[in-house]
Amino acid sequence: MKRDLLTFPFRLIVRPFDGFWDLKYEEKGRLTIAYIILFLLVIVQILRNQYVGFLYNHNDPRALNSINELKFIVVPFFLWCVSNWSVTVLMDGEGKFKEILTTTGYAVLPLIIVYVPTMIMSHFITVEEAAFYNFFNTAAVFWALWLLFVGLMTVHQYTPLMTIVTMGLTLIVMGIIIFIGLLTFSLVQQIQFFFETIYREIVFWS
Amino acid sequence: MKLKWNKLKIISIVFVLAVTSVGTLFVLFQKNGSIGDTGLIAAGAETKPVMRAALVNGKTAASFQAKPDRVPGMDKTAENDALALYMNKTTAELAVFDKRSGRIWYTNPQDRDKDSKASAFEKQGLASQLSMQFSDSNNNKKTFLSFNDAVDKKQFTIEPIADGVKIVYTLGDMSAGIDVLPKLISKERLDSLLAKLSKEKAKYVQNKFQLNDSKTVYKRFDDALKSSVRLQKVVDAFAEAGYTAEDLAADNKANASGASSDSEKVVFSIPVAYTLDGDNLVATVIAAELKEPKKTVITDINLLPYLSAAGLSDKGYMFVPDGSGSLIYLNNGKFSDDIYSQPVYGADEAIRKRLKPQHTEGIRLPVFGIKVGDSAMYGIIEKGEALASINAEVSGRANSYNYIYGSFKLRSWDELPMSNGQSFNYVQIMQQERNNEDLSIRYGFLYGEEANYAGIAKSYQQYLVNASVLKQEKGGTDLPFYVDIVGDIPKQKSILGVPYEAMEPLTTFSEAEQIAKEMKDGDIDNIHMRYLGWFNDGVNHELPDGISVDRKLGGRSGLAELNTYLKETGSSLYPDAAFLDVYHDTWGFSPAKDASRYITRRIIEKYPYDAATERMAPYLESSYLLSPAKLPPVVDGFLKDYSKLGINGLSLREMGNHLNPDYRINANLDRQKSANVISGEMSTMSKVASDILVSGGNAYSLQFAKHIVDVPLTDTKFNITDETVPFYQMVVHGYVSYAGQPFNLADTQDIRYNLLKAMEYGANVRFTWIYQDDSKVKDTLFNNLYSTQYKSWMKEATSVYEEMNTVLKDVQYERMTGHIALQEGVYATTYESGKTIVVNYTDNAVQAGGQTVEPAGYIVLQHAVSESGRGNNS
Repeated sequence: MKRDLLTFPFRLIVRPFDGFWDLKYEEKGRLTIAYIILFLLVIVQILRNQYVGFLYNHNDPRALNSINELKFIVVPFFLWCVSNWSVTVLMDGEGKFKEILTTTGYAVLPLIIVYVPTMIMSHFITVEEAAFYNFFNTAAVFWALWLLFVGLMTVHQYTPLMTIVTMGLTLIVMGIIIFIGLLTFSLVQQIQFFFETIYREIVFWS
Repeated sequence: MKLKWNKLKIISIVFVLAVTSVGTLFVLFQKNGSIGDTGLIAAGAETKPVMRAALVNGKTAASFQAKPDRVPGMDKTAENDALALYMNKTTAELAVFDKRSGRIWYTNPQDRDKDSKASAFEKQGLASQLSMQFSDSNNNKKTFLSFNDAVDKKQFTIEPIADGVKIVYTLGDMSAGIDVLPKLISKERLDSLLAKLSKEKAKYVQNKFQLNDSKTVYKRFDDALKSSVRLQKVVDAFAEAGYTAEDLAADNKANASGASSDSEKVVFSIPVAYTLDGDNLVATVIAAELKEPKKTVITDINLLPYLSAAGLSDKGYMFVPDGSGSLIYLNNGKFSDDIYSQPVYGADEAIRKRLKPQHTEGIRLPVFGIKVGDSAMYGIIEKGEALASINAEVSGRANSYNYIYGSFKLRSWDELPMSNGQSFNYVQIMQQERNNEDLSIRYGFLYGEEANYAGIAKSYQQYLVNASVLKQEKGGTDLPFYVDIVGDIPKQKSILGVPYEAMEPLTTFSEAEQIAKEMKDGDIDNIHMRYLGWFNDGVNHELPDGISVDRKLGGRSGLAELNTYLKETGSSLYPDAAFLDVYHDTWGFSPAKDASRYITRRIIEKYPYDAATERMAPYLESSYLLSPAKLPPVVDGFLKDYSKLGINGLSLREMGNHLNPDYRINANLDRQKSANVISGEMSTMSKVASDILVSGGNAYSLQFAKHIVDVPLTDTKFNITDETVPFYQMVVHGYVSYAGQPFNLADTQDIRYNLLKAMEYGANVRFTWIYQDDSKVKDTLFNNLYSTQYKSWMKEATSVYEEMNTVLKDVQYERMTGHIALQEGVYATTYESGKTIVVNYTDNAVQAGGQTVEPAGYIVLQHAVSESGRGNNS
């Protein structure tokens, strides 16, 4: 059974329709595994920043900071899930929040599977062969997007059109959340300045 | 009736005159010992702040001076063997008659009326002994001049004191204002007052008051009193009727009206004592008796601005102590450039500067001077020098005089940013407390051979020797070689891609020993090793209230070993510590409690300025300024640990270099107090580590420093200045050994140029070295150490040192007595014994003293060379 859970994600990525059905209705998906996949993605991304071949690596090694990967992977991941839940809960989606998390987590597995070999490959190929490197990486992204599409369609029991619409709305909602966050931040700052100014006026009362 | 009134006035004036002259006579008699107690009482009565002129020439003058005047139009007030002080009692002008030469130095130019450039106002200004700036509660800044605002209005008193005279200038509008009249007064009281006046006058006064509806109380009719002539008439009438301040208070109380207007009178009282002390004139602003209104405060006082005034026909120069020293030729025509005005000991870092200030060499010694023809005058700012600025102006801007003077900043101001959400407004905040100590400048006079900046340097040196600030202690026979060794610096490293900061050792103690050994092999014996970054984490270490010697460098035992090695081989070790800049926010240091604050009450956290944007760069390492008040406990903690190390030398990074106040509210420590704290702490330290090396070398650190590095070897080259001179070197050479910037990190790394500069300025060789490869400093905050690997410099350093040692070895304990420019780029420096070194920076060979000086070369002569090559101004 345990072993089954571990092999399940690999079956899922090649048989997405069956896989996501099992994930939702046969309870084969585990949130823990989704988190592990996410964690592995962070690790792979850090390794990529540091170890992708010189020809393809445009990072300044002095400016690298692994903590940044949290900002660029983990935060968007949860933002996506929250936004998607917010949209689908209003649009009769059947997926629970936990299922959205699991689905999204399982869907990024191809990135890990493809990124590691291309990272190694980048040390052996020339600049002219960049097309291969780029092709595989892009293919991995499209694979992951396809999985995400199928996964969300299955867990929410949507039509394909509905899935595309909700995914689009999810992106908009992500934007709105970021906007509100920044707005709050700026307002808090203004309030802080306001009280600071009052404090100064009082201190320098004469 | 009018006639009778005037008669009264005349009678009262005559009476006042009589009383004051009798008073003065008493004082004089008392001085001669003929009258005792009565004289004292009379003198006491006279020193009361009588605001109207107390002394008028005439009868009193005659009693002062029986002999014919040596200074025409002035009376002698004090005299000693060298000088006599004269004074004009109507204009408050003073003159110093020098008995040695017969030269008279006036506090104000005597031919000012003939000045074609000066406006009528400016001519009055030229008659002032001091001027002051003040700021009212709305931060309007204005200037008062002692002649225009005090002497001309007869608002000054003269009081003879021992060896001189004290003049109290009362600057401002003293006329009784509307406030001496009651705002409300009952009908019966006004009627009783009017009854004492003539009918005509009573009617005039009554017209200025209005009866209220119930016909019982008169109200002052302010609109009718707007004209000052009418106001004066009414005020005089009230005085005539015997209306006093008590009556006013009673009326105000009876009719429940407070002081009728809340505007305070803007009147300042500045007492200045002019005394003769040996062959010096000392002008002192007596701070304890300085009076200012509550809300309008004095910001600056300029003392005796025109004592040095030299006119259009005079030849000579003004000397300013900018960096090593610079000269401003008289009448150099540079009046369209900025005037020279620089704070002593450099800019105040506790005043926030949003943009990077201009780079200046700063003033290290509080001395200035002027050479006019064959006489010279200098000023030493004796008290309050840390608050002072030195200012110099050439003829042509506002008047036809060149003058140089000292001024004192009593209060500073800063800008407080106030946000309204969208933008910032800057509100000016004035420093609350001011220094309450005396401010004084000592003036000396030189003639003939001595009348030049070398003579001024000699006089100042003598002054410092007499004050036992400079003491000659002979060290080794070879010249010292200063080497700065950098221990460890912080460098960014990363673990699993997460960056963190770690200490990177550049030179360990044993590696430093290795460097010293190699120097000895190259015949450099007198090594003075200044070790930076040896404790509490790196060069920019944590608060030094205790010492933990870096383990990576070899720990305490490694340091002891290095010290022993150097000591045994006749060299010295100077571990370096920074006390005033605090780079880390650690347990022992709480910025809120221990850091200095701006006038705006914010904690000072300064960042280096970004070279491109000229703004503070928040991505660079910031530092706090340790409040001088917290310095003693830190030093105590440091010394407790330091005494256990058994090292005799100690290098202080900023104590002789930066001087900053703490504007903390209710615990204000201005720059003068800060300087006192710092020199006090240096004295404490010199008891544990007797051999102190400082960087910079401000005057207050000279007493304790035996070695100075980063001594200015040039001036700022302000537009208004004309020539750079080694004044600083002339003062300290022979007493303190010094070096400029490290040869390998100086503005130019051309070793030959640095050698010539050191030869010219009597400075020693200095290098900054590390043992590790130069590449180690890449991508750190210390990338300015880019060329410090010792091996690459060793050969050049040895040969440079050898050359220097041959030439300067025998004059290292001699005074530097002369420095002349033979031509542009060719300079001759002369020492006490007559040994002269001529350096040639130019690309051509030149002749000097009968010998040829090769391009970029130097020669040594055993006699001084003539000053013939000097510019057209001497």
